[in-house]
Amino acid sequence: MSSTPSLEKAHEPFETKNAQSAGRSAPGVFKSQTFDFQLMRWLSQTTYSGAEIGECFSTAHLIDDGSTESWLQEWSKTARRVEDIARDCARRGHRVSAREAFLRATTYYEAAFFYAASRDPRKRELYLHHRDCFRHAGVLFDNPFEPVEIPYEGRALPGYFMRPDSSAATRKTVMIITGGDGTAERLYFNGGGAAALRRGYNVLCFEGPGQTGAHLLDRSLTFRYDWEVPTAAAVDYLLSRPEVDVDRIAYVGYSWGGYFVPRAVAFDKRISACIANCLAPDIYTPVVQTMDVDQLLAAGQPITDDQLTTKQRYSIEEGLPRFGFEPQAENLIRWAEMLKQMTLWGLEDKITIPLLNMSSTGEGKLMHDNAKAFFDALPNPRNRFVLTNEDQGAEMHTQRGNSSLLHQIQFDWLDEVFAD
Amino acid sequence: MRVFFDDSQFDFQTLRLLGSAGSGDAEAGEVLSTSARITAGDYESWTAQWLATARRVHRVARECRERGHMVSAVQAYLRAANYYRTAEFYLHGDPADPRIRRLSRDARSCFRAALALGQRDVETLAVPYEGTTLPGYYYPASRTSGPAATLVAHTGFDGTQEELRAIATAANARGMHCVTFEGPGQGAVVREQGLPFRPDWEAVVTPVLDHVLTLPGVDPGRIALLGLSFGGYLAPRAAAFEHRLSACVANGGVFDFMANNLPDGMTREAAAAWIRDEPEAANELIRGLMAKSTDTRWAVQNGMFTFGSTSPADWFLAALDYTLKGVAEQIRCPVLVIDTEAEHAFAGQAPALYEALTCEKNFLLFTAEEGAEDHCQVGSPMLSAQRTFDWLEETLSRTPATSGRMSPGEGTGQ
Repeated sequence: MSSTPSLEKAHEPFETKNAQSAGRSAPGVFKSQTFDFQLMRWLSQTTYSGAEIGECFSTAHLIDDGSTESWLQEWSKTARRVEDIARDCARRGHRVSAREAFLRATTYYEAAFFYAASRDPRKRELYLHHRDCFRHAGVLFDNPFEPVEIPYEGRALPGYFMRPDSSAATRKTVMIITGGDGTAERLYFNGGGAAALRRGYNVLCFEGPGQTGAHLLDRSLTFRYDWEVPTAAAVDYLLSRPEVDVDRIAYVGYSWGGYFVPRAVAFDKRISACIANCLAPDIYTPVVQTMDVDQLLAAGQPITDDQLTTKQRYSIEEGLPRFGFEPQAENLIRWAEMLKQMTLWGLEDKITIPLLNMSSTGEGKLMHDNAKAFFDALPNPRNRFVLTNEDQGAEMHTQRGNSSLLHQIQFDWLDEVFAD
Repeated sequence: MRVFFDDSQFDFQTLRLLGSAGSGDAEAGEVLSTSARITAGDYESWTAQWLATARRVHRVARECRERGHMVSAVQAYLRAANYYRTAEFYLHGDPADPRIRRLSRDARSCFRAALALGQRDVETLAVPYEGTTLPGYYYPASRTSGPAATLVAHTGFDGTQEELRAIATAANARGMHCVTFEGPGQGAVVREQGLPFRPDWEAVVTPVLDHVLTLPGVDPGRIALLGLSFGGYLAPRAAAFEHRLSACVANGGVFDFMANNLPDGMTREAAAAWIRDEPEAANELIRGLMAKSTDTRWAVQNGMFTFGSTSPADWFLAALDYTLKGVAEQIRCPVLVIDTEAEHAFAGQAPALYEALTCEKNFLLFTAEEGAEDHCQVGSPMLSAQRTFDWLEETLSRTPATSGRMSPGEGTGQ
């Protein structure tokens, strides 16, 4: 296929050291790098009516830099205020105004619970508001979104099925998942749900076991390395829908989804194209580094609770339950063994369908080089490797800050793959 | 609110761009990464960097179109159009600068390319006006049963009608038609036809309404007029004489255009007399102020450009004519007067207009708490559209409305 050099060529060196670094696109509102990075996430939901610039900046300006409690309080206030607007508009029959305000409140509730600890009861409560606002918005669309519960090992995976119109036509369909954070609801915005609908795709946004909403709703739903299992449940669901063209099902994954999606398509041959944003051939290294337990594990000794720093204790409380382990130091080694199974290496020959990789310079050289090394080992000639940069306003992880460009590249590629 | 620059003029224009992300006319990452390359207060730096971004996104649009990706092409054309508009914004100090026409034409041609490729039918209008025509767009509501309410919208001192597409989209989503136009002093009319602003805006709106009434599906009994920014003077002025209007929105309300710019302690009459008597002293005073402030420099340069004035003093005198004193009380239709807590250009003007009105009226204040405190709610177009259209829907559906101040949390407070 033809290439578009102006989209792909990276002009900037990798000046940044981890996925949360940003270049010139950084809002610069916070000194806290993670706060500034997350602010951009909400700002870039504006493209699909999921946020308002003024509401985001005015909320951000009230937050004590670096205080996750202040972050939760201020976003909660904004979320409640905008939800009140939505409910008031709905009561007075202003359907469009109500829908838009519910969509924005959806985002602000997610922002509110983003840093909350799992054991903090407010996390689940705010998540339920987030979901509730999205569902209220969903029924106010001309083609209402359908909340779905995908049957999975006697339990249910949460998601939404969306159609571009109400016709019974059979259409190409995209399944979208996120990674270590994010929800099925958010996938409508930055994840490309809305962008896909505009381009005539059916959409299934869903969460697998261990992902944010799934795990908050059912703590027994925990991450697994063999992602083809929950994926098969989602594909089974799609095949039950007459609107789905079974020969044109695509699978898109963000962040850790860059591991989950390629892993699943290596085994589930009902999927015919996939997008990894970006390819994560190995989850172990970035996760143990983020959780600050890499040195503990490297020592190769049994680990006990009294060895842990506050940050490590917090990481373990947050991280281990989502993988199905009690949050105790002694479980770190078994958990690490499981993480080591989360590798794409060895599956190169099985990932045979067309694959698009989306990398960004702000993710840093290490992430880029890992993605590229694995990409280069894949067999399909239609595969494409895209690297976005700060000239494009798209140097941040998962192209936050430029949803239009992200979805343009992803869906233009997919349209071409599916055109044949 | 400050979003990026310490220079208040550059920061406001950046917020204006960021806000337009809500309608797909900008992307936050593109705006911020371009802003990071700009030297604050330096017009040439602004032009160069926005032009670079506009051209890059324009190339993306062309590539998408050539490869048949029409949704992506439309979105990139819309952003390129807005970035070209932005690149042109500070060029008016030299009305002969050839980049003015070139960049504004690039902006329009990208916008029209987006319209041509888009799925919506939008009609380009040429409204007969005093031996020439005024440009407009007709955005019909997609599904209506019978004649529908119509919003006629125009911008103000420095906008283009292409920026009003977001408002047209909001109207259409609510089942209303929308017509946008540019009058003398605005957009392509001043740049291509050289027609400057005129205070008797009814002379512009009346031929526009004549034309609107010929469009299919327009309910003649439900036509509203909305004016943005300086349009908050122009629209009420027209409504005072054009009684076919069923409602009027002034966002934000302007009672007296130059009231906040009179030299300290001078009445308008005294100021006018002094400028007439000592134009060189007045020019010197204004040029001194321009040297000190990017806001003033831009306002006067753009004022001279859009009013066809030959000197700052000449513009100042012309601008004094734009007052609703003795006019506001002639308006008969319901009026929504909008104000913002951090109004920078027209502080106090919206309350002055509201007080002068004798018709059915509502006053709506947008606040800092809502993140909508800036002129025209530029950072909050969705919130602005929600309140504006909720009022229009209720007013045009003839629910008997009650005049009064609307508190922010309550929408239109019935």
